[in-house]
Amino acid sequence: MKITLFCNAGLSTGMLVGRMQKSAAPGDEIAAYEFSCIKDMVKGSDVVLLGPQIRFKLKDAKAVCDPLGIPCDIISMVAYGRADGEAAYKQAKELYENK
Amino acid sequence: MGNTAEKKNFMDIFVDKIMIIAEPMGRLSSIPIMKAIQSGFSANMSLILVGSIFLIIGSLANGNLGLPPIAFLAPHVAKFTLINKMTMGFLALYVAIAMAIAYAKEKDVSEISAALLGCCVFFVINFNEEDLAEGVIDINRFGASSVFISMVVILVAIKIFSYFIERKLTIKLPDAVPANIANAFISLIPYLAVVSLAWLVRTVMNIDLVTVVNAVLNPILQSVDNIGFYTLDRTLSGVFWSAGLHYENMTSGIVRPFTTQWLAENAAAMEAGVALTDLPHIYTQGVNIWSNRPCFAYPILLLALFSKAPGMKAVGRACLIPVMFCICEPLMFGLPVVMNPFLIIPYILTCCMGSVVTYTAMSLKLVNRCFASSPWAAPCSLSALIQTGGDWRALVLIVINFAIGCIIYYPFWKAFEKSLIKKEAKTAEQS
Repeated sequence: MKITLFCNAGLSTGMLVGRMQKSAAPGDEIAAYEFSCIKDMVKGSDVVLLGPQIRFKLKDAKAVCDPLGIPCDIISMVAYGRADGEAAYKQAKELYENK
Repeated sequence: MGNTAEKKNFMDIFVDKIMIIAEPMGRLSSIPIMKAIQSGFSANMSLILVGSIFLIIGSLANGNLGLPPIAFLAPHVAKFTLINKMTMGFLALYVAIAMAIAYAKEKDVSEISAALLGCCVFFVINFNEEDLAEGVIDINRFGASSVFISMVVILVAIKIFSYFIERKLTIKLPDAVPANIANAFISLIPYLAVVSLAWLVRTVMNIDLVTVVNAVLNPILQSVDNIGFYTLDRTLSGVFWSAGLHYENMTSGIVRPFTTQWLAENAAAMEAGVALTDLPHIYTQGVNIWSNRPCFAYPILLLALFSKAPGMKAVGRACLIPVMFCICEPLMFGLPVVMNPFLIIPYILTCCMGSVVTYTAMSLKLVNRCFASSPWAAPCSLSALIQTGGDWRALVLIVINFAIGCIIYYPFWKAFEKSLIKKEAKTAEQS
């Protein structure tokens, strides 16, 4: 499963990436980028998650992800705030499995 | 119990009120032109950073920054400041190209065609046949003063270009012709249209948009750099972040063009020998990163690290390194400060006070104004020194802002701690 996270500069979600990798299954790819390059970096992703501070960009993100059939949602504020990699990974997995 | 329920309602009302402004702002920041402006400017940050590094080395070598000049470099100073002239000094040109590419990406047309067209239009709109008569062009046209016109003209140019492409008002060769050759012809008519339009304006009708518009707009644009706007901008940022919304992401399309241009003007003035406390602008790109964080973020960190309330020490420790490197999201969402009825009032207050104090200090020429760019994630003290050219008073400003922040936060923090302890006691009771 390829999980791609987006936030303003890719830095704060980048911190979450490391935590998520601890809960990840072998073969999972998790990466974080800045939102402005979403069109380029979303290719090949299975799930897209946005940092809650740019939740107003969800519509934009869906405009890019929906045509590609990639489920997209906002990282839960609590999981993001506490850098809870396990919760964020679970959220990604559920999003992917329920698409 | 009654208190918490009331406070919850207050939070909901608060967020709803913010969303009334935030929603349209969010939508504004999503329109292609805004995204193009944002990308166009952020793409230039590395160039600006490089220019700053060379400028600082050159200024150090020259003895302009208060330290004794570096003997073996002193005769070569112009070689160093040259790079700043060619980066920040050519801002309008780089912005034109970057924005053309960014807008083309939004419109799904060929980015390289747009880049070349943008560059060409930039030249055509700035120079006519007389300007080129001597075989030299005025490089002042590449600089900060042309930024706004370049932005508008390039966006219009690419808009027209993409309109032609979308409506297929192009030369279409028969299908038998290979794609590469056919593509070479597709851009011809749109190019002709756009370049001719720019040519008509500047060369045929001799309307020099840059000079004309600047004469009208400049007084207004320059006056926007005042304490009112700066404080309003920072306070609004505080209000939005309280609701967990990235204010800067929403507004950088509007604010960045100003602050970047103002930074470039300061750099040019600095090079021309203007004293660092007398540089034309205060609200430069990057100034609030090092001056405001010590006021609104550092105090919480300190209070959390020494707090006896449950969980706070752990959050403080987890957020220490990110906050030191200017990444405040873990603190904002983790403590949390976001949607926290106890902390959003001091948070907004500190955003406001920090900006007032900083702007006033620079207004009164107590601290150097900023002329250089620093990597935004650099620790505040480092950024302060880089941007102000090594002014130790900037560090004093940081300490003052920090102290003010601590004073503002303290009573609210104590109330917050009390609520946490009460909550824990209650859960302990119930279990």
